[in-house]
Amino acid sequence: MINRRHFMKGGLAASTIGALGLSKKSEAADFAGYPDSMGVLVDLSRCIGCRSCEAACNSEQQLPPPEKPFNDFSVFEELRHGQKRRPDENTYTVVNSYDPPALDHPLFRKIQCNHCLEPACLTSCFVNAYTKTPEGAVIYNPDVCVGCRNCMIACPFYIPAFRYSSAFQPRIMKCVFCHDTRLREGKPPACVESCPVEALTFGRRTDLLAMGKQRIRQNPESYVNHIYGEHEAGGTAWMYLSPAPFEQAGFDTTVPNEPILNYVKDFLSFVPMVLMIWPALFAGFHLLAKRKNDNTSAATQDNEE
Amino acid sequence: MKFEHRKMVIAMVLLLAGSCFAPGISPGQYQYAPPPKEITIDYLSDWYGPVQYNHEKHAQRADCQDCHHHTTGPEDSERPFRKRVNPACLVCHEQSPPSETVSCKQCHTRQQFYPGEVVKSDNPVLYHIDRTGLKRAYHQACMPCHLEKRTHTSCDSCHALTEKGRQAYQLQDKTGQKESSGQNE
Repeated sequence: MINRRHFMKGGLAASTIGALGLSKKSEAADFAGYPDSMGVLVDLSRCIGCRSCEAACNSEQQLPPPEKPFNDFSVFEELRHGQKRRPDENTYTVVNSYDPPALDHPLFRKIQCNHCLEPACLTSCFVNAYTKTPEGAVIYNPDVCVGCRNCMIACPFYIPAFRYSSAFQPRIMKCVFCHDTRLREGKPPACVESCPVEALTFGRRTDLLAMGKQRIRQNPESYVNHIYGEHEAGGTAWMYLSPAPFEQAGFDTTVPNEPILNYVKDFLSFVPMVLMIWPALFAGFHLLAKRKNDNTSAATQDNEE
Repeated sequence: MKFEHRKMVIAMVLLLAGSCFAPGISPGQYQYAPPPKEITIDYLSDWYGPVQYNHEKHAQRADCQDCHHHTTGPEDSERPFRKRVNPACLVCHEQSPPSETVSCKQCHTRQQFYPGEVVKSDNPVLYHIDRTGLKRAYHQACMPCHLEKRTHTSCDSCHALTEKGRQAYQLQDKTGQKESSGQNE
């Protein structure tokens, strides 16, 4: 009996150590992104709200025609369910207009997938439909997607959209950084190339951070001293500079600086333990208990005899 | 294209002739060409057609330094350009000689953000890590003044939409208004 108890204690201790060891071994916490991966710095102080980026995206990605032409600016007044426009199954990017009190002109903000360094959508996907490419894009493979839409819940920026309108080809629709058509060849995405005022600056993410900091340093009165996306959600490939506080331009400033992955990593590291160790452990308990019962009943039978 | 080519040749001949016979410049002084009268800006034509830019008319209404931050020739009382130069530039460029050209496209690239441009920041001593591309440079040169003087600022008041541009913006009829099915109801 004493031997058996020692065995159980040892087993429990070993599985606990194993679980802790697994969580410590995870490399995601230190991942600083692919070296030389590309990004875009969006300078809101430059954007004039011309919607050329929306038009360029539409033709590059061969998306369905819009309800209104891309030089119709009445879309800035549109509210859907009380909210400004956002990317949906027909549009990978939208520009919205905001009126920060400190500015005497509207502030325009382009929204699209921010292409996180450690994407929550990718983490949440159990069939690996998402890939973070070395170039910096977060791309999606509709062939393996099972349509669970976990990525839509996981994304801290509410970007992935589902093509509900198609009964036979439903899929996630989101900006792919023009990966297949342009980024892979080193070319800037279509929206960046279409911008008449370089509100969108394309380059290596490390270079963009240096540029952003230089712009703030040279014109401290024109910018909030922060690059949105440098640390948000563990860092994003698309980053923003703004002349007004970010929350006044519709940004979610409560997005944590840690990758979303870190919040579930500790829990997820227990999953292998639960799946691998628990069945064996409890099967062992069961067999031991059964053996004891058998012994006891056998002994009883012996006594009776 | 043929027409523009001929125009270009004429402009160049005029420029050469002007620089040879420009009065009031002694041989030792830096010689600068008189500015062109009209320029066709078509380096970036795609969604929008070329801009027929009347340089002469604009030069009458603004100083050279309002648009060109580089200058040719030395500074004198008639051309006191340094007072207009961004003080941040003078930190390094106080003693810089006049540039050989003031043409925007000479320094601001058409291939902004293409691979050849992106790797320029590999140079560890490069200060100008954020050099503006040609498209922004043009718009930056024109738009502040047009806004200030409340003259035309819409896109197609300077360059007309091309057929490609009309398709990109999803304009369907010729009046610039997309035909909507709701109009008949």
